Amino acid sequence: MNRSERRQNMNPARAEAQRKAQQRTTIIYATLAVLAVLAIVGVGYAVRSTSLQNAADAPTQAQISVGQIAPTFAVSTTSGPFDLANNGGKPTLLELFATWCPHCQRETQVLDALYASDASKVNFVAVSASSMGSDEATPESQADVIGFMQRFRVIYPIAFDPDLGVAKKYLQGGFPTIVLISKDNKILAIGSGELPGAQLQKAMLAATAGKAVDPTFGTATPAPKASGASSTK
Amino acid sequence: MALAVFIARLLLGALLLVAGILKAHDGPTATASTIAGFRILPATIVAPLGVALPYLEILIGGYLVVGLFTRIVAAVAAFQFVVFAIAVGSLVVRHISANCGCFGSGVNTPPSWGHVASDLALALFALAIARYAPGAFALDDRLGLSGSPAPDAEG
Repeated sequence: MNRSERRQNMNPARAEAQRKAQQRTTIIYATLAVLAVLAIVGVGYAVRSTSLQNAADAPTQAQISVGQIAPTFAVSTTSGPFDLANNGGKPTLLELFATWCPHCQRETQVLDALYASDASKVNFVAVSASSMGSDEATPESQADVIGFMQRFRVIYPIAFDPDLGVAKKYLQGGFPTIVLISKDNKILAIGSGELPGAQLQKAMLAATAGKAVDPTFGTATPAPKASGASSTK
Repeated sequence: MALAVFIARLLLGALLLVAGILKAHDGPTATASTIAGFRILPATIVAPLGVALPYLEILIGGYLVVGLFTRIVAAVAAFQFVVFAIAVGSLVVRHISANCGCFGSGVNTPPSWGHVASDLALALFALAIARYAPGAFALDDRLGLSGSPAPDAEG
């Protein structure tokens, strides 16, 4: 006796219950299969979308100078979206960093202190700008940038830039590159390498007050020379 | 009661669908950045979560609207809102002004106790749906997944 014959001989209520049970099992398995496929696709997408796709396309030296209109950019930071076009009427301190760069790692303490004291007067935004990750072997990923933030206790807004678009517009050949932008989005100062907090703060406060700003943040070497910074990767 | 649960399912489902769609539209980098801003989870988890969270919300929202696996899905939604409440509460306690990212990066809501209360209220709302699931017009009833007899089997 095959299955259909058995079902025909079965009590109709029992057959109906069995049919429902089979239907339920099918729906549950189908749902689990869809979820499994979504999970696999999601993980693949996560790996692709949260790491750099073309490490060879690394930026080196952007053509910017003090006094020119700052190139526009918008990034998703750990404190929400930041768009230079909507700067809230405040100057902006932009840092381009690399997670593997020891200068950038030390500069986090300087920027943390400045952010704690001046976040209400100046926009702070740090953007990843290297094609190499923290291990200096694999492409930069969002996990590298978040790991950098956690390891060095960064409190200022920090962003992973998957296509290095900001670096292509601003990076000055060394890490970190720090650029001060006025309320009306003109470049006021450019510096590379580790910069002392006092000089950064002096420039920021001058920008806030609308006064003249030292275009090199008071460093002896004119911008855009890197001071002790490693080569761009 | 069945109609009230149906309306509750629609409201909560729509809320989660909108939240998930806006996050998915922002993309995984933005969502992961927002999650990283909470400074709770390790970096290795944040990036995959940035991809998964929007679609999880869309999935839960969609299931609630159509009333499929209503009880378990509403319980998962309640758990999710409790996790959100704890996360936002931790921001308030630690004085971190991160964006909650609840409706994507376009809505920048600073963390507050009011926000925590909203999340907890939504968790209770979801629990009530789980308690009285599946409500009217639910696929669970059509497919015999609710434990009660399906409408077409009643006659």
